[in-house]
Amino acid sequence: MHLQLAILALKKNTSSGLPVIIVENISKSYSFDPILSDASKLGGKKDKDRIKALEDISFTLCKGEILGVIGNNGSGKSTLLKLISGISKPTSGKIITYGRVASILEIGTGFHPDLSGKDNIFLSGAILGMSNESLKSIYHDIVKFSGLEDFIDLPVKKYSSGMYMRLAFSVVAHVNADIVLLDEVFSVGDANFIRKSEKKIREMLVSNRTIIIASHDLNSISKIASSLMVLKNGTQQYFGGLEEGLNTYIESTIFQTESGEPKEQVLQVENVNKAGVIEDKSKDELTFGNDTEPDVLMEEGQSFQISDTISNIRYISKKKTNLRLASNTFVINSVSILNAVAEHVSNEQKIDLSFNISVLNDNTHQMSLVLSHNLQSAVLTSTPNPQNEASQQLKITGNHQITFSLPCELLNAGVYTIGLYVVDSKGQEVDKAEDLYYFKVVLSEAFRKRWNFRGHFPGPLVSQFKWIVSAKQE
Amino acid sequence: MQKREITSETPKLAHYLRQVWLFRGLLLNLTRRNLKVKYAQTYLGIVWVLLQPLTGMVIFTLFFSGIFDLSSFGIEVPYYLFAYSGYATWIYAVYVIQSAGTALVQDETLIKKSYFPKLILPLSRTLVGLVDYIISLAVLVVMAGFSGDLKLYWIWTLPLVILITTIVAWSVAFWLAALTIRFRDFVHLIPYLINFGIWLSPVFYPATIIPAHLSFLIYMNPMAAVVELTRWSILGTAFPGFHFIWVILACSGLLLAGLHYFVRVEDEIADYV
Repeated sequence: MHLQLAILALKKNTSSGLPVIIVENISKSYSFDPILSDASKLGGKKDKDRIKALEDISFTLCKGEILGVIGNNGSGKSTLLKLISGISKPTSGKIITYGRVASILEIGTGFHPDLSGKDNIFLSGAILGMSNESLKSIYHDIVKFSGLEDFIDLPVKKYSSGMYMRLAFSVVAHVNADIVLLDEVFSVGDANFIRKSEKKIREMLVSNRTIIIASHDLNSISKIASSLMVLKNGTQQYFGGLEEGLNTYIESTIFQTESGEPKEQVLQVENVNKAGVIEDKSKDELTFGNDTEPDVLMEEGQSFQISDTISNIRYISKKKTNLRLASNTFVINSVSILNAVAEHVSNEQKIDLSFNISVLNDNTHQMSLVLSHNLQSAVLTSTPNPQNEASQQLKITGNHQITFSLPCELLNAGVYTIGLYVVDSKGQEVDKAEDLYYFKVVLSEAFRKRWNFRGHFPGPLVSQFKWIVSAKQE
Repeated sequence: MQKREITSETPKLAHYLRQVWLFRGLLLNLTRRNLKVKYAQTYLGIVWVLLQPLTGMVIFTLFFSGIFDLSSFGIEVPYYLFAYSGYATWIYAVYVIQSAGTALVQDETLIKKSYFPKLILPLSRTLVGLVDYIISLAVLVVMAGFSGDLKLYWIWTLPLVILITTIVAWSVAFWLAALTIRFRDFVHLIPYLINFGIWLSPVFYPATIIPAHLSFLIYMNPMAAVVELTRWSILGTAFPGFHFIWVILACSGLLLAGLHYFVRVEDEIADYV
């Protein structure tokens, strides 16, 4: 029960404005063969010849809401955006939108290499639904934003690819519509420009537009979205608050077997000191479904007590056990996290990870632990000092228990995955096991209260370090 | 606030055409693009618009005024003006049919990545052809003025004649555009229309070449009436009779049906193009 409270507390307050996008039970299927698809309508062909791109999607977005749509390739993200924008029609169902819709499914749609930068701004703007008058009024802003004042009359085929992208993005960034649909348009151009564009996007966002962003980049979505939809094989797996959605997505992405069945990290209780606590945590309550409790429960203000008080509970991963590394030198028997409930830990808590590893033969390898945040690249690597006893121990045949402690107040909120890398004596990477285990860090209520902070800290790490402020001597 | 409802149902034609009107800014921008791109990086630029009918004029004049003399068949104006006027009109109709027929395939990425009524694409190609046509007609007027064959009496009908010509071209073009979405076979049909159609139209020969009691045969081709109407309007040749009424009725009907079909398959354009 506490856990559900915790999740509710994380759910952002969604806008309570008027609904501007209403999607009712839309489905979309394509025929494999365009020539035969008329025949299929007449009943000549059966459903098996049709690809179901989306099945029975329903949701409502209110004015000012920002929905992130996430899912693997082929999950139907782009199809959904195409249906809402009107590019393609649903096979069944209904979509109602209020206001002007601009769909940005690609950077530089309609750009023609033979046209000048100026002509392309007007053409691309018109394709995005802007009138010539409004384009004239923002033309100079667009050019200035792109930083291409000197090249604007050259045909864009003379541009470098970076310049091309900058111009294309500048048009998109100035789009003026009530509803904006974005598809994987981040990370174009050089780092400097990306920073500028992200700022611009955020400006665009605060101006009370309703936005749907489809991406598989969790970072860009979690930065701006207020709610999340998870799509998988064309079906809606989740729709709701961002935090819980990210969790659902990450769990369904990393922790599934080849057959697509989700693998669970199974609770095992060892050395239970506080018997009462354990009785409360039946398996049912520890699974995270899509259903959420009514918001009333949030009033209690005790959401984050669990991870602070419970100790000596251990969760052992059943996933990827008996994983063999470095040609049978190491076998990872199990990975577990101590002092946490269902992999949910508070950022104010010390995190102890435990690995049960068998070393099958003497070796000279060195091991490192690698931590990744929200399915992104590694954020932290730790390796024992080679002169250290721990390091020596791992080179000797036998069963070993490695315990690894992460200090409290280091990790930011989010899902962290753990990998083990094996490096040989020459420093070459020999083997690695990624996504061995995951846990979720939440900012504790006490922490939030202390810093009076409800939003997101950016990045994977949050640490206070030492701040010294003194009066400057003139 | 603008409300839009998207379902699997096909919109009414009137509603669809209203959408096209709302997107007129895009239509103009695309036309501008097509015009600029057509002559981008060419040395002669817009001169190319004139070279095609002028070349046709020279060749037809060489053959049918020099080698075979067609002037005995009642051509009332100098043959080169006769040939130029016919050929310029023919080129316009052909351009509309050909470019509209392939417009959707050519702008595939645009179709897949942005929303607008797709009829805009063949329409913008039409406008490009129209600009070219008006330029070549202007040259015809100048040439006819110099030779003293320009007749101003009926020239006010020229916009109407151009409209009829456009309707004739559209009546084929939109069908082709819509059918090409699924059946690329129709792309291959276009050269047939163009290469053999000219022989069946009074472009380089007068309709009077056919005995009067059989002339209805040539006027079954709608191009025959519009070519002769154009000549009549600018050069004051004999009025081709009221065949054009039949042409307007038939081609408007075909055009309307073509538009209906286009709107019906429009939903599938993004999926199958």
